[in-house]
Amino acid sequence: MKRSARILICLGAMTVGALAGWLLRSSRAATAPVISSPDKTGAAAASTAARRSQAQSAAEELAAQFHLTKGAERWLLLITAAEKARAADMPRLLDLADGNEAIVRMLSTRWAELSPRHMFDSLLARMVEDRRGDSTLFEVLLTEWMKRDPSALIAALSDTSGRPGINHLWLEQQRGYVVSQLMKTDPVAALAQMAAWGINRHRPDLRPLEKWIADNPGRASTLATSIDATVANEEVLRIIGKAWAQTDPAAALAFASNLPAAQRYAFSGSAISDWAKQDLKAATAFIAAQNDPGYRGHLAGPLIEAWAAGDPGAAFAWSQENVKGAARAQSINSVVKAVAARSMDEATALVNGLETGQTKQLAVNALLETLVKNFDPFRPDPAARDAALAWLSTLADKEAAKQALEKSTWKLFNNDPDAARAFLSGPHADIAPAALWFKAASEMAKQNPASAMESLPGVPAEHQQQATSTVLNTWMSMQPDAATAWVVNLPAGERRTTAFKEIARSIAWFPDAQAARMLEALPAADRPLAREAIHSATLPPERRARLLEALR
Amino acid sequence: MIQVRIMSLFSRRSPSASPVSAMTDAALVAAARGGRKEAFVEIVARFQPLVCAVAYQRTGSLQSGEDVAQETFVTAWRKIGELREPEKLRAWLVRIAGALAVDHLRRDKASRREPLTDEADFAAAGMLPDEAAAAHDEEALVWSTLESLPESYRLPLILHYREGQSAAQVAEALELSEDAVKQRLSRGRDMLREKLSGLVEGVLRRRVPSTVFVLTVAAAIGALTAPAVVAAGAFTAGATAAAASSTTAPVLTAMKASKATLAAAAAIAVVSVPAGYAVRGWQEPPAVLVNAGVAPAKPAPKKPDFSESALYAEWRRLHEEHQPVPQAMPALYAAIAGLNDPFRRRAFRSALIAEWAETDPQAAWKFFTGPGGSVERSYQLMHEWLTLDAQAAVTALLSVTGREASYPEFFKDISRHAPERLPEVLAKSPKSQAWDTRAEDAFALMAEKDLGFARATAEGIAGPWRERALNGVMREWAEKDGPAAMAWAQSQPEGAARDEWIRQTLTGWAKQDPIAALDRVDQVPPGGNENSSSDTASRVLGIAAERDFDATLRWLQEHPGKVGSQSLTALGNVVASHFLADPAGFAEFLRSNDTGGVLKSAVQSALLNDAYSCKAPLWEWVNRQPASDPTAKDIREHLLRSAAWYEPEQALKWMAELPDSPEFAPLTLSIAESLQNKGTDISHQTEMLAAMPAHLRTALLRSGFALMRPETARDIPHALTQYNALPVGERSLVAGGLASQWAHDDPEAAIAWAATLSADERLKATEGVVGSWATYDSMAASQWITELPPGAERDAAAKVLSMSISEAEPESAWRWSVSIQDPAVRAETLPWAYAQWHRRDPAAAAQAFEEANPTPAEREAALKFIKP
Repeated sequence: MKRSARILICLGAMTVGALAGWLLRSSRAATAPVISSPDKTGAAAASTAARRSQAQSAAEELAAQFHLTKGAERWLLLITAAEKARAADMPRLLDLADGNEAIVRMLSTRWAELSPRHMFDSLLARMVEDRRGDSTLFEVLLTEWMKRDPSALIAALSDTSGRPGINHLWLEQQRGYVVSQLMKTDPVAALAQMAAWGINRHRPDLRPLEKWIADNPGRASTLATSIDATVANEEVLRIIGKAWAQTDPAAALAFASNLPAAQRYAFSGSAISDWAKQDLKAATAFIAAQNDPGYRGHLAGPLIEAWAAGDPGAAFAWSQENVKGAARAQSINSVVKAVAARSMDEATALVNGLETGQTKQLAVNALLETLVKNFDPFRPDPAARDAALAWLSTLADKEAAKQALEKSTWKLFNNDPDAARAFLSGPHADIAPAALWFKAASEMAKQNPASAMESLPGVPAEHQQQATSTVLNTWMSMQPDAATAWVVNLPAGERRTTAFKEIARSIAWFPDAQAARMLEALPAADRPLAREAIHSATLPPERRARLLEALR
Repeated sequence: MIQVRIMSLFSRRSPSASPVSAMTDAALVAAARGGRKEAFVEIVARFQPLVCAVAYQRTGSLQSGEDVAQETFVTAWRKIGELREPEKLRAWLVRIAGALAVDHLRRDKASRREPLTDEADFAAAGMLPDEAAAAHDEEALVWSTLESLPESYRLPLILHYREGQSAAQVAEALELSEDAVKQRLSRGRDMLREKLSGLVEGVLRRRVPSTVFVLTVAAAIGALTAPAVVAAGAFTAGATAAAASSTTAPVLTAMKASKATLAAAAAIAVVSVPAGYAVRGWQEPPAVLVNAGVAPAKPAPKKPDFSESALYAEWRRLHEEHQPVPQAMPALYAAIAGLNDPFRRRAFRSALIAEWAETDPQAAWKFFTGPGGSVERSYQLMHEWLTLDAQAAVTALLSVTGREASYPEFFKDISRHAPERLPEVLAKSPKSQAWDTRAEDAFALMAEKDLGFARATAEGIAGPWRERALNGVMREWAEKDGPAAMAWAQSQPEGAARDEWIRQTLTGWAKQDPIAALDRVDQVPPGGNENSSSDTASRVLGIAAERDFDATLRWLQEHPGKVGSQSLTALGNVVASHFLADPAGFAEFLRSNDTGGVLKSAVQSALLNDAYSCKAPLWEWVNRQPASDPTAKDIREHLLRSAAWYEPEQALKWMAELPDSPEFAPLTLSIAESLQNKGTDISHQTEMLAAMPAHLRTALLRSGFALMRPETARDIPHALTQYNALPVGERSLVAGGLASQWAHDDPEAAIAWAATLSADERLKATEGVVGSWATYDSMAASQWITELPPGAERDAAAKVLSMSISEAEPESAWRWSVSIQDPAVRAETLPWAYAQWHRRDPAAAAQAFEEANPTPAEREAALKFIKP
C-alpha cells in the first residue's frame, strides 16, 4: 500500500471519528430535551432542577430495573427503594405497582409510616385532579394513621370540610370509618366525634360500643345519664337501652320516661323486649301505665312478640284491650311472627283461618316478611325466593297474597329481571301484583321496546293501559326519536291514537327547546292529536301555551 | 445496508465464527445464546424495521415507538434463552414489542411528563418553538389519520414508508403474499389520500429511525463498549457514505489489504471522536441538565444492589436463620408474621410469597389455600405464579375445588400470560353480575395485544361466557376500527347478545370518534338496568363528552330527539369536571350558550354530587346575576337542594339570604320540603325554626307538617304548639298532616282535636284522620263515618275512606262513593271507585254503576279510568 493511501486512510478515519462525535452530540441534543438553562432560570433553579433530575434519573433507573426483574428480586428492589424513599418519592414508586394490590398495600403502608399528612394531602390533591379516590390507599392510610396519631388524622379530616373537589359523601364515609376505629378503643370519644362531624349517612360500626357496654353493664346507665342527648343518635340510644335493660330494665325504662319523645322511643324499644322475657307481668303493667297512646303502642309490639311465643291468644287479647291506633291493628303481626317462629304450618293455618279483611292482610304481610327477612336483593337467592313464592301461592286468599307480594316486589325482583319474567310466565302469575307487571314492562322496554309493545297483549287486561304507558315512557326517556317513529308508523286506529297521545304527553316534559323541536317534527296530520294530548295533560299553563305554540 | 456493514465489523473481530448475515433466524438465536453478541446485533439489524413499525403502531408516537423498539431488543437479549422455538423469533419479537408498548403507554400516562413549554426548552431540544409545535402536531395528525385505518392496512403502510421496505420485504415481514401487500398498500394509500396522504407519507419518510439505533442496542447489550460504540458508529456512518459513492471503494479495498492500517485507522477514528463531540458542543446553548428519561439511547439498567439496605440485611438474616430451602418457607413465613413493624411485616411477607412462588409454588399454593390459609396471600401467590409459569399456575388454580368464585380475580393475569387457557377458566367460573366486567376487561386486554387471537378465542367459547368475552373484544376492536367492529356486530344473529356487542362497539368507538358513535346510538335497543346511566346513550354520551365535550354538545343540540332525558344525566360527570375546573366560568358558559336544555339534568346531577364542593364561588356567581336569569335560577335551586340534603345549616344560611318576595316563595317552600329529608322530627325542626328569618318560618312549618311521619310526630303537644304558631290562614293547609299522624296512634284524640277547629281546618283534619285510620282499621273508621251527620264533613270523610280502601275492598269503596251527597265530591270519587271494582269484577261493577245513575261527567271519567 502506498504511503499516500495510508495517509488518506488515516485522515479519513480521523474525519470519520470526528464526524461520529459530532453526530453523537447532535443526536443527543435533538432527542434529549433540556429541562432548563442557567441564563433563563438562574443557579438556584438549576440546582433544584438538578436534584429533581437526579431523583428522576434514579426513579427511571429503578423503573427500568423493576421491569427487568421479577419475583422476590423485584420485591426486594421495591422494599429497599421504599426503605430509602422520602414521602415525596412515594407517588412515583406507586406508579410502578400498576394496579398490583399487594405492591400498593406495601408501599402505601410505608408512605403512611413516613408522612401520613403528606400522603393525605397528596391523595386529596390527586383526587381533586382526577376526580377519583383510590380506596386502597385511603384505607391503608386511615388504618395506619389511626394507629399512630388519631388526633392528627381527625384534625386532617376536619380541615377538609368544604374543600373544592372533595365529595361530601366521600368525606363522611372516611369520617365514619375513623369513628368506627375510635369506637374500638374509646366509645365515648367516638360518639362525641360522630356528633362533631354530624355523621348521619355513613353510620359507623357500633358493635364495639355494644361490646364495651356488655363487658361492664354498669357503663350503660353511666353513659345514658352522661351522654348529651343531641350527641346520641337513635341507634346509639337503642344499644344503650338494650344493654341497660339486661341488668335493670325497670330502671332503664324509668330513665327513658324522662327523655324527649324521639329519644325515648329509641331507647326503650329493645329494653321492653328483654324485660318481657325476664318479667312479663311487670313489663305489661309498665306499658299499661303509660299515658301516651303512641308510646304505649310502640312498647306493645316487642312485648306481644315476646309474650306470643308462649301464649299467642292471651297476648293478642291484651293488645286489643290496652293498645290503640295502628299498634292495636298491627299486634297481629307480632302474634303471627311469634307463631311462625315456632311452626310455619301453624302460622299458615292461623292466617287461613282469619276472615278476609285488613287483619288477615296484615297477618299475611307479616308472614311473608318473616320468610324473606334475610333475602338480600343484591345477592338474590333463587331458592329462598321460590320457597316464599310457593308458600304465598298456597294461600286461598289470592288477593291478600298479591297485596303482600306487592310490598316485597322490590326486594325479591328488583335486581333480577329474569326471575321476574319467569315468575310472570309461570303458574303463579295470578298472584303477581301490578307493580311487577310494570317493572317487567319497563325492563322489556329497555331490552327491546318494539317487541315489548308487541307483547303487551300478554299482560292482564287490568294492567294493559299502564303497562303500555310504562313501555312508551321508558322508551321515550332513552330514545325519543325511535319511540316516536315507531308510534307514528303504527296503522291508524285506537292503539295508535292512545300511543301517540302518550308520547305527546311525554314530549311535553322534555326541556323547552328540545320539546319544541320534537313537536315541530311531528307529521302535520298528527298535530291535532298532539294538541289534544297536551291540552289534557297536567302542565303549568305557560308551558302548555309554549308547547301549543310549537304545534301551530 | 448499514446493518450488514456492522456485521462485517463484528465478523472481523471474531474471525473464527461463521458470517452471521448468512445465518437463518434459528441459527442466529442459537449463536446469540452461545454468547455471540454479533449474532444478536444481526437480529437487531434484521428485525429493526418490523419491530419499529409494530412499536410505532402500538404507541402512536414515532419517538416512543423507537424507544420501545430499543427496549424490545434489550429485553430480547436478556431473555433469548427463554425462546423455546427459535424459528419463531419474528413472532416472539413482535409479542415483546407489543407488550412493552402497552407498558410504555401505561408508564407514559402514569408519569405525566411535563410538556415542553418554554422557548429555552425547545431551543435546547434543537427546535424552534413553532417547529416543535408543528412537528408535534404533524405527528399527532399522522397518527390520528393512520389510526383511522384498519390494522391490516396500517402496518404495511408504516413498514413501507417509515422503514423504507419494498413490497417484497413487507410481504416477508408480515408473512403475506407480495400481491396482498401491494393490494393493501394501494388500498391504504387510497384511504389516506382522501385525507392527507402527502403529509403522512412525508412525515413517515422523514422520521426513519436514527442510524444509531442498532448501535444503541448493541451498546445496551454490551456488544460494544462505549468508545467502541462511537467508533463503530463512525465507521458505520463513514461506510454508509462510502457505499453511496464509488470513490471510497478503493479505501475499503486498501483496508482489507492491510490489517495494521485498518487497526490504526480504527484507533485514529476513536481518538477523533471526542474532538467531533466537542465541536458539536460549541454550537449548542449551554445545557446543564439532560433529562435522561427522554433520551432514546437509554443505558442498560444496573443490577439491583441491596448491599446498603438494612432491610435486605434483615431479610438475609431471616433466611440464614431458617435455611434457604423451600421446606423452610412455612417457618420463615411464621417468623415474618411475628415482626412488629407493619411495613416490614407486609413487605417481607409479600417478598416471601414471591420467593416461594419461584422456589416451590405448588407447596405455597397448598399452604395458602389449605386450612388456615389466607385469601389475600393466595391471591398474591397466584398473581406471582402466573407471571412465572402461567401454565402450571392455571392448572393449580383449576385443581382446587370450592375456589371458583375467586377466578375472576385472575382473569386479567391469565389473559396476559396464558390467554389460550382463559376459556377453560371461564367455563368453571360461576355466573357473575352484569356490573362485574372482569371477564370483559380480560378479553379487551387480549384484543389490545392481538385482536385476531382474542376474537377467535372468544368466538370459540361455548355457553354464556361467550357473550361476555366478545363484549370485551368488541369494545377494544371498536377502539381500533369502529366501522369494522360495527359491521361484524350487526352481522350477528338478532338477540340480546348482538345488542350488547353493538353497545360495546359504540362505547369503544366513542373513544375514537364520538360523533360516529352518537349517530348510531338508536340502532340498538336502549338496554341498561336500574342504574340510570347504564342505557346505550348514557354509556356513549359519557365517553363522547369526555373525549370532546363541545362536539358532543353540538351534536345533542342538532339531534334533539335522539337521546332522552334519562340518558342525558350521564353528562353529569363531565359537567361536574367543568364546574370544578372553573365554577363561575362554566356557569357563565351555561348562561351565555343556549344549550337547548340538554344539560339541565346533568347540571342538576353534577351539583348534587361532586360539583357541590364548589358551592361558594357558584353561589357568589348566582348572586351577581339578575333574579330572573334562568341559568342562575336553576343553579341556585340545585345548590339549595343539595345543601338541604348534605348540610341543612348551609341551606338555612342561604335561604336567609333570599329576598322576601313572592318570586322566591315557591323556591322557599320547595327547599323547606327538601330540608325534611333529614328525617326531621319536631325537635330538630324547632332548631331549624330558631335559625330561620321570620318570613321563612311558615314555609318550614308547612313543609314539616305536610311531610310528617309517625316517627317524626312523637311529641303531639309540641306539634300542637307549632301548629298554633302558624298564621291562621295557613293552618288549614297543614291540619290534615298533623291529624293524619295523630290518628296513627290515637284516632279518637285526633277527632276530638278536629272538632275544636274552624270549619276549613276541621274538614282537612277529618280527611287526615280518615286517611290514616282506614289504612289500619277501615272497619272502625267506617263505623265512625256512619255516625256522622250528613254534610260536608261526612262527604269528605267518605271520599277519603273510599279512596283509601278502593284497592283492598273495592266493593265497599264503591258503596261509600255512592253514599256521597255533594255532586262535586261524588264526581271526584265515584269514577275511581268504579274503575277499581271493575278491575276485580267487571260484571258486578257495571251493573252497580248503571244502578247508581251516573252523571255524564261521571260516566266519561269512569270510562277514562278503565280505557282512556
